[in-house]
Amino acid sequence: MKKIFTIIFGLALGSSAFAQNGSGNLHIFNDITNHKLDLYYTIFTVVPSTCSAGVQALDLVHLPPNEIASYTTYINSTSAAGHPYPIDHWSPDVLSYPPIIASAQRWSYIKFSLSDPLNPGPITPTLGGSVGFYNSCTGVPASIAGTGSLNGTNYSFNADTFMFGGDLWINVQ
Amino acid sequence: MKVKLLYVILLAGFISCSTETSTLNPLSTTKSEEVLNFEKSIKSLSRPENRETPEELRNKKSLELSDRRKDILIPSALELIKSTGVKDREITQNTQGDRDKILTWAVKIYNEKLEKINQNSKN
Repeated sequence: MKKIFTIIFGLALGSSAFAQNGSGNLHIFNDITNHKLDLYYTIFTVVPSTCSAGVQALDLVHLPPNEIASYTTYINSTSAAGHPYPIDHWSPDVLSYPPIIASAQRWSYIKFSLSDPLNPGPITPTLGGSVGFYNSCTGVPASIAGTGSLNGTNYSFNADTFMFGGDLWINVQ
Repeated sequence: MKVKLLYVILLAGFISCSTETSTLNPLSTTKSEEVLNFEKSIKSLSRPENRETPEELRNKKSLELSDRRKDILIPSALELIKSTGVKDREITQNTQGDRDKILTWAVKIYNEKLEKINQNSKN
């Protein structure tokens, strides 16, 4: 009984310590340089060693203008862990994965859209797309830009990714 | 005498706890100027003049920033490191002016500060 408890505790500890930030934390900026729009995104991960898909967040995160969201591990990104922009559900359910599988994954890309809280409705074409890292595996670009309009108002955006200091950075503006 | 002493200890404890709550929370739950400036410089990488040049795009082998773009981050990274009490001399000794070492150090501090802010907002 004691051994089983020790193993479970060890696995839990391992999963919280070694989940998918082995290539750095992920930081997402909703930059207000060009506009003040709401950013909605879902996160995807990848297994770089096999170039295969990881998991997909089922939660659509809302990041208000001028806010920054940072993600370290799956465990630390939940509302139970007190994350301000939490992700509680993944497909498949990576939170129940053995640490060895979870730790092989890396933050890969976000699929996002922008909307104007002062001009509700769908901007056409959708102001957003996918942008991220491990581009040769995922086919997702490192940088995108676009335009759209709604009710006579024109919008434009660009999203860029950077790597420095051991972390991954996405700036949407 | 013992009762008076007990009152003094209890009063001191009460004042100490009250002061801690009223002074620590506002400071620790907000980002410092150095953290905000570091974030500002990261976001400035998306400015037209700071974007990748055609030559940088051609020579790009990974998503790692070019040296020119890393240099944009260095002043705010150094300020962030120094905000922890580290002196210029120590920075020079530890990094020898290496951009990557400076940025890795700054990002480590940035993540620690974010973690602290999140912890404080939870409490």
